[in-house]
Amino acid sequence: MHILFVTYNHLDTNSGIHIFNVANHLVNKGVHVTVCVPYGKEKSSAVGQPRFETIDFSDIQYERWSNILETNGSVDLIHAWTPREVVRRTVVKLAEQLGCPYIVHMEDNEERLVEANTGRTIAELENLDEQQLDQLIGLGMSYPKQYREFIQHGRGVTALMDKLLEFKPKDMPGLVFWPGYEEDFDWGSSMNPGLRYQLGIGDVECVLVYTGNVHATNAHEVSSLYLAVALLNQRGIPVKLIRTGNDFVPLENSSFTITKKYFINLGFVPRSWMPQIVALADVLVQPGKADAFNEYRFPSKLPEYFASGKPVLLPPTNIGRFLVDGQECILLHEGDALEITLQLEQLLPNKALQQKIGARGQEFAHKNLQWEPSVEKLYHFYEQILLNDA
Amino acid sequence: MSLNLFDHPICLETPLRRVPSTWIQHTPFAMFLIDILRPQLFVELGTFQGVSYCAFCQAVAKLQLNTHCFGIDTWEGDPHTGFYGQDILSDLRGHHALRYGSFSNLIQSTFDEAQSNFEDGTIDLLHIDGYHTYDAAKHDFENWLVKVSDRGVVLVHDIHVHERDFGVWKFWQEIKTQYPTFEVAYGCGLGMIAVGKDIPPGIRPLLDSSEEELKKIREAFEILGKRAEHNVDAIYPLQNQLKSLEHIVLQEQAHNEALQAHLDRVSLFESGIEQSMGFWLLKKYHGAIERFLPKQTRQRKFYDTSRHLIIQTLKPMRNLMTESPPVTPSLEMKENSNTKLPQTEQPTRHFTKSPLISVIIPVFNTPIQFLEAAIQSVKNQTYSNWELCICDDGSSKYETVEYLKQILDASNAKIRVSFSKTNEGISQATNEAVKLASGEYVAFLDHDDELTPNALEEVADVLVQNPQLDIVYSDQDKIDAGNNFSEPFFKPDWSPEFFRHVMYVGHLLVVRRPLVQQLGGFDSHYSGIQDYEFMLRASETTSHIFHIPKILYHWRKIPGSVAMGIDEKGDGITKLQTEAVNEHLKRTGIQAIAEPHPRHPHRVAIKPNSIESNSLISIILPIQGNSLAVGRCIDSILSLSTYENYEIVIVKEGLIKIELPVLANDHIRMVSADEKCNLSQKLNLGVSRTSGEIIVILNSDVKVTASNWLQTLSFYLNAPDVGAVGPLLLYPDGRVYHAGVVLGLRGAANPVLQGYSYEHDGYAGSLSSPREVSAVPADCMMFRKQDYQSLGGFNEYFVDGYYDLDFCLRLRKQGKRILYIPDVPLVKNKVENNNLDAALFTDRWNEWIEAGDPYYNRNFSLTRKDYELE
Repeated sequence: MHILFVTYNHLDTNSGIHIFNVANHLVNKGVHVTVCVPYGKEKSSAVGQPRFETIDFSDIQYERWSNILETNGSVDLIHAWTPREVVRRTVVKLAEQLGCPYIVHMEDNEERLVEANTGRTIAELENLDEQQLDQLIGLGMSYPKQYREFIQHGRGVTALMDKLLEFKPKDMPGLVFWPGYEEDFDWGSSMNPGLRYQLGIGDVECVLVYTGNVHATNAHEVSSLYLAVALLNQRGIPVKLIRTGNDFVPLENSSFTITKKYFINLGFVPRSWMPQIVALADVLVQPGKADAFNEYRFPSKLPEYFASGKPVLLPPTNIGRFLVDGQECILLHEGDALEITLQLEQLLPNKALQQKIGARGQEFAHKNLQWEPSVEKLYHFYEQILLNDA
Repeated sequence: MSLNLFDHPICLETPLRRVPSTWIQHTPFAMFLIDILRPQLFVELGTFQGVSYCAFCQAVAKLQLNTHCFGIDTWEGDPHTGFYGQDILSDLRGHHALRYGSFSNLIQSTFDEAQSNFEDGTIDLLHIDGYHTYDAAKHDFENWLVKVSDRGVVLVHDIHVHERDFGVWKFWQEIKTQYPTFEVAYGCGLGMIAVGKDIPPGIRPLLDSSEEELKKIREAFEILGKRAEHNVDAIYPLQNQLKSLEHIVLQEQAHNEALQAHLDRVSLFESGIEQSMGFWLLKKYHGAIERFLPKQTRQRKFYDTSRHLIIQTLKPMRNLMTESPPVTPSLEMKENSNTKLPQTEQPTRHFTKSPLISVIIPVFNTPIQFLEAAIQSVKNQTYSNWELCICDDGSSKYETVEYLKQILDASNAKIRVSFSKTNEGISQATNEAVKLASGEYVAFLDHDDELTPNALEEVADVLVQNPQLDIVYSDQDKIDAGNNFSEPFFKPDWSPEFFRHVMYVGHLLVVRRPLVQQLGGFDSHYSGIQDYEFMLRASETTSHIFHIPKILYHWRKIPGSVAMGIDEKGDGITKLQTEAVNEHLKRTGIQAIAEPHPRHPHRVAIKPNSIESNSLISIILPIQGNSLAVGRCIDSILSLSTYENYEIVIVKEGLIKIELPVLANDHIRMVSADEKCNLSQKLNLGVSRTSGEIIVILNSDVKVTASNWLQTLSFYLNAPDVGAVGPLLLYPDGRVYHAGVVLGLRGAANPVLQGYSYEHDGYAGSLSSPREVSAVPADCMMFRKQDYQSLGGFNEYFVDGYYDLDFCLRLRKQGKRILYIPDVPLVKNKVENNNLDAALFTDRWNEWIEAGDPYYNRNFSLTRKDYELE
């Protein structure tokens, strides 16, 4: 079996890390895998040791592509990683050239993303032609009508969250598979006191860790977390927040500038540093609430958060719907700073409760958030699709 | 002896630690020194933000040396750097820990205290960049010299700074006569001293080269230094914020360009049009800004603001913007505002259900050009399901009647006209026209006014989406005989209390037809204010009233009309208005009398009938500040209040003794709060000790000035759907301190009209008349204990402020109204709020703030406090 993944960005991204792990596990099962990225094929090695070929779009017309086809055999199935426009255009053309079917992977509510980024409703965007959409949206996102047609003409849909299957036709095969944590990293590693010292964290201070970028769709949520940290300190509970990632939009409230001393920003860090950063945390928080964006996604950081054995606070949406509140995690219902503060006021002084919830969350991760069983399901889905197509 | 920098490519490394600093220009030289000296031990005195220190560490990490590094600083600042908090060190630690933590340590200490951590003769490279006076630099050098190894090198920064009491230059002049040295002048000057007896061979070219060669070396390092500095901007804070936005734009742009380019390369798509590179880039950049930061989004506003601020910052001669309360404020709906009018949208919606709207026009001797324009404005509607119902009220002008007959003869089924034999007045004519209507709703249009083309479409859209609505009204402006628009009037959302005092609803008014019939239409007795009187009666039967914050109606401004000026029809209007309100008060059982406002025409003052002191009112007074102010506050309550049944609960801090003669009074009780209690906790404690069912919270720096303040506030709180009331608050000089809160104004929320004279009318009565607001402040707020308890009291996570606004919004969430009452002003001194409280308030009520304050029209600027347009 030769699977060709076509994606919209290089692999050193949240989405790319998923492809990387899926591809490596498929190779372990004897599947030939080629991953086609628009550019930046060399960045695959920043994620780990790839056991598959990465090519970029320009390779398709050159010798390298012929060699790959010669070695791996003709492509049996294209897995379009999201229906975003650059993927759609490429996959439509390749499927025709290679004479093979394709399936589409969904990781976000594409319509909500486009609306948030353009400030226009889907109904408004549907009336625009492709040239106008090129100008307004760009190839890195989905075009309202085109992406639906693209899914309809495919053979199936895979999704990170069950609600994403709402976007496929009823009679089309669909598969939900959850991402896993990377087993090559020691997510349960113990806290490094030297690093804690270097970061200037006092003995009595509690640590929260938030790993991830800040962008238009989550800026308010992350601001709430910052504010909660400031409130906890104001109320006499010493807490530091360690951040990684880039801020693509400014945080909304002024709490960050008022109380900078509570925050340690590590910026964008190599993937391999992540386990020891997560290990610094007493509690991990995925801020937010149930809304049209969060309901349809699977935050990439959550598998590693749960695998770390630390207690996790998260909204009662997406994966939060499958966890037991107060036992495997703590669910945030309002998701605002006050609720985060109230929950942490209870949790931070209670080490036994932290340990209990952390351990149960870790059990959940070991049972449900591993790549191998997910890829096993995916493999059988491929088989079913190819069988249907035969 | 020559030096080839290409032998040391480490000099070309871009520094990873990027914060603004003159030292950034020396980072290539620092990295070069690490490469050439390969020190066992490096120490820096005065690490501050870590620009220099991290450059040394970066070189150590890159070259994989076994160097141990120590950065020493108190991180408290000095008179030269300024004093600062722990955030500088926290930020540095975040950058430093994982990158250099395995070989480097940051020591928070004075230099002298840290000295004992180091053995004598062990430091191979010492960088001195501490306090920059002559004495301090000399002291640091002499004190630490013993720690430097035989091959040691000392760096000294700021050797060319002569300002203030900087004295490193003087120390440098002395020391360079005693040791071999190398120096550069850029970046405030950096000097290198070879203090050890075994001078490392690598630095020989810096010490022994000819002056000509040294000049070339200095120039080379300076070029590299400038290159490094290029990454950090002089106006860092603003630029950094702007960059974060531009970064995403450019990153996404680059991503998309790359996507497009690769697609092109595989010949999947047609290639683009070639253009000049500069034009292309500019076009792409602006395109990207439009694409990724769409107009009206928060990110775009931030981008525009940041960009604007930077441009302003770069204009050195620009006058500083100052803010002071206007001395002679003017809030009249201004003339000649054509250019400032918000653009009316021209949408074309597709309706699944389209209610028939009957447009009602009463006509009397209307000049043909105006009548024609009015009718044409109906015909021009983008919404098609309308009918026009005209009643001629016995016009004596031949041309008017002839024109209407022509319309009738044109046999347009959508237009119906009736003719009265006698002139019965506008109310009766309107009622006659309504009799012609068959629509689900009727829209009232005066005979010389005009609808905007989208008026009925906007109304229909709202009615379809909210089928329960009985009444819809919109914003309006004026149109003169030359068809020029002016004086836009932007109204609040439905505000029944405000409407009792001010005839603000006006045009366009659309009412469900059966409701008009049920109420018997317009009352001829009130012709002139017939629509206002009708609305009073209508509001007694329905609360399903909706405001569209868009101008959908042009009111004709001609001599003799009220539109021309509020005095055009004399004081008859105000008399009728007062009469209508008195009838309304009778019908609704409100125990009060309406009178014309003493200062402002077309405003009504409502005086409550005498209220007996039945209910116990509990006044909570949390004490902050000086006891003199507290004494004044209590004294003003005791001496002025004519309401007798009240108690004062003073919440004081811990064991503090307050001894004031005024406290010896039966009305007063004292409660002690824990010293750690914040203000909201004190208030909750106070309420828990009260006996009354009506609570007033009062700031101790407030002074009562009206004897009937408790009666008046109680009167307005008496309405069951009112949750809290607050009076007008004035500064001691009579200017407005607080006249109600607007959500989103200058941030989270702020009082409106601050600084205006208390005698001012405000915007269409918004200062002079009681009205609905989003919140009133805790400086003086009256509410029911029952409502307070159902909400769980004040939120104690707010420390000094915003707990009051949070409380009001929670009341509003329960469907209660909050009222601002100007009738009984109180005087107070201003206090500042805790910024964290503001952030918490914004976080909790973000969606409400984003939605806009319902009582402050969305067309007003949120950067000003006085009802001005953007």
